[in-house]
Amino acid sequence: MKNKIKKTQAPKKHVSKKTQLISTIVAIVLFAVVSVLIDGSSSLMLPKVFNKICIFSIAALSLNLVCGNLGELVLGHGGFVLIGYVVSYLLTNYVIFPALQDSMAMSEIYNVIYNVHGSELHAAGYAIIIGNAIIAALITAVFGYIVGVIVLGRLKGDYLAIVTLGFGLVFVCLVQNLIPNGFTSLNSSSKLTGTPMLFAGFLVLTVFLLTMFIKSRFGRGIIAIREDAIAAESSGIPVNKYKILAFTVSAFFAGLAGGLYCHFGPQTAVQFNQDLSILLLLYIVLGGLGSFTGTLIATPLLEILNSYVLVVLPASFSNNPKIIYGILLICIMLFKNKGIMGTNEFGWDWFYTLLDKIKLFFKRVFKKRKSEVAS
Amino acid sequence: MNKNKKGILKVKKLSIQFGGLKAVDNFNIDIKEGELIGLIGPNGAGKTTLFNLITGVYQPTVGSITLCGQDVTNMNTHKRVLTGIARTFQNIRLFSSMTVLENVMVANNINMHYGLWDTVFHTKKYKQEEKETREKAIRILKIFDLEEYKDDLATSLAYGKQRKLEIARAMMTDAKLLCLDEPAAGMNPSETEELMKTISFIRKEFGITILLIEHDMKLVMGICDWITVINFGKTIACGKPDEIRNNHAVIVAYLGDD
Repeated sequence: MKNKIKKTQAPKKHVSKKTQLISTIVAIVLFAVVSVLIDGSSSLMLPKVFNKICIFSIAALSLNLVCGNLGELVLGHGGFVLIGYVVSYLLTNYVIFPALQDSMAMSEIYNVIYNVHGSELHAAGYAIIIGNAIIAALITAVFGYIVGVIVLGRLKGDYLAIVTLGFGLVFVCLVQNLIPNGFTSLNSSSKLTGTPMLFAGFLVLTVFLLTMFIKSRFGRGIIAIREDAIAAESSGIPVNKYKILAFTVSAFFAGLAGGLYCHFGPQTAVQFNQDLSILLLLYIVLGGLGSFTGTLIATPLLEILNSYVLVVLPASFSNNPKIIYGILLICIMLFKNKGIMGTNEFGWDWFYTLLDKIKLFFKRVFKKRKSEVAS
Repeated sequence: MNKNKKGILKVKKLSIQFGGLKAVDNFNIDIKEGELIGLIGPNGAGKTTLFNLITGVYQPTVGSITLCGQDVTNMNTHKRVLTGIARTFQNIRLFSSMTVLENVMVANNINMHYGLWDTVFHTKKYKQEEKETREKAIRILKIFDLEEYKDDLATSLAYGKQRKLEIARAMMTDAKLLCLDEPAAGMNPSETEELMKTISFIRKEFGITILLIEHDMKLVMGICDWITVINFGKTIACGKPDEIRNNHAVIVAYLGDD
């Protein structure tokens, strides 16, 4: 019996560096082609869904850094996304557009930002959105650092989760009261809408940077803290410092997502309350806590489910996607409680081993059929 | 005791109080370079508490701790690692979802200095330090005969090997003083034998000073230079293994007064 199992299992593959490099380039080119195709598609829905997937993936990845890799539950991540959103919104509406209006007429501004058709961005438009997003990310990182310093040294586990929930609610309340008219009053940011290429670019950048981070000594330290904080501390990891670092980096990317979200379309502050935080948590739990790959699988799955599948269902379902989400979450917890990927990450070794496994599986299926036909 | 040797750890009048309980009371010890000291005592005598005080998990109520000539009484645990102290735990604490190699690599963090900038741009500093860490980790794993398991998960190792890995991780910090908290707990006699060999070996190989908590008397009497016995937080005896064996106070502490 044992021999049989060994025979049918695909051996672990170790791919050469050359193949890895070529595979990576092919993957990036494929992704670029897809985003260009979506950019040029005539459908109204498709680019929107794609953009949303990119933005939410960035936010979910940033949450996964704290929840998955550091192992601290954060329930107010929507608050950080909101900060990024607000910074980007304020910058566009109160700094950039007024500055442009001083020097030229509104129609001229649009000529600078958009091309003649008014659908594609000019370089200036790209520059504004990219600059906005980066500034939003930096300012959110400062907020993340402050929250981290206040909270992380004192609390952990459930207490930390509750406090972050509190911070999330406070941010939403503050914004609601400071900008009472909502984000629609002066909304020139909604006129400055990003393109799929742009969002896709930021997503790739986020994945790249976070992977680098988690593979460095900082990432190793952060995972060690998740596994055993006391052992990590006695191995020379400055636990508190690394926790704050993880929190800050996480807030940075949450702010980036928020900053980009501003150029996706107008939202209200309430949309960033605990519902968003829990939604992001759902994405990472579904994909697997501690696996960026899992997040990148789960977020598109759920977004596509939300935009394409639920719409077909009766109105009672499509208006309340939370019912479906809840059922999905229960099922995942019951049948695969580590999520889709567990803590595994995508790697070319893993990918080619998986390919071999699939090949073997089909071979076996065909053999069975042949033997059945023969008998 | 050789007086010419450098002092590694000096503990003076160390006490800690949890509520009304004095877990460690007026403890003194002076450990010189290269020695192997045993710390024994009945259950609940305060041995592990003492370890936690020395490594900085607890702050003492009174007293001072000097490590390699540096006062570390108010230092954080991870900063004490820099001055040259490393420890293992009574119940094995490994980073279970990480591979054997990563477990050891983590402990080299104090010797790595690249920042976020180097991480993002993969600078020369980053590459060099990562390469050095990997090579050093493999070198240490080789010493502990763990190299063949380097890509396995730490928890997939056998119990004795997990103990070894914990010691390997501690050695990765370039420690001068290694504190072993009941390394033979839960081991069978042959594993204990192997552990004794490992401890003697790393002592020779690294010239390291070792402070050992252990219940296994054969192990303690066999390898220690001298032994301190504590009970109810107080030192009751101190001396060579043979002296301890015949010490009346020790026998009373372990077996009770007749």
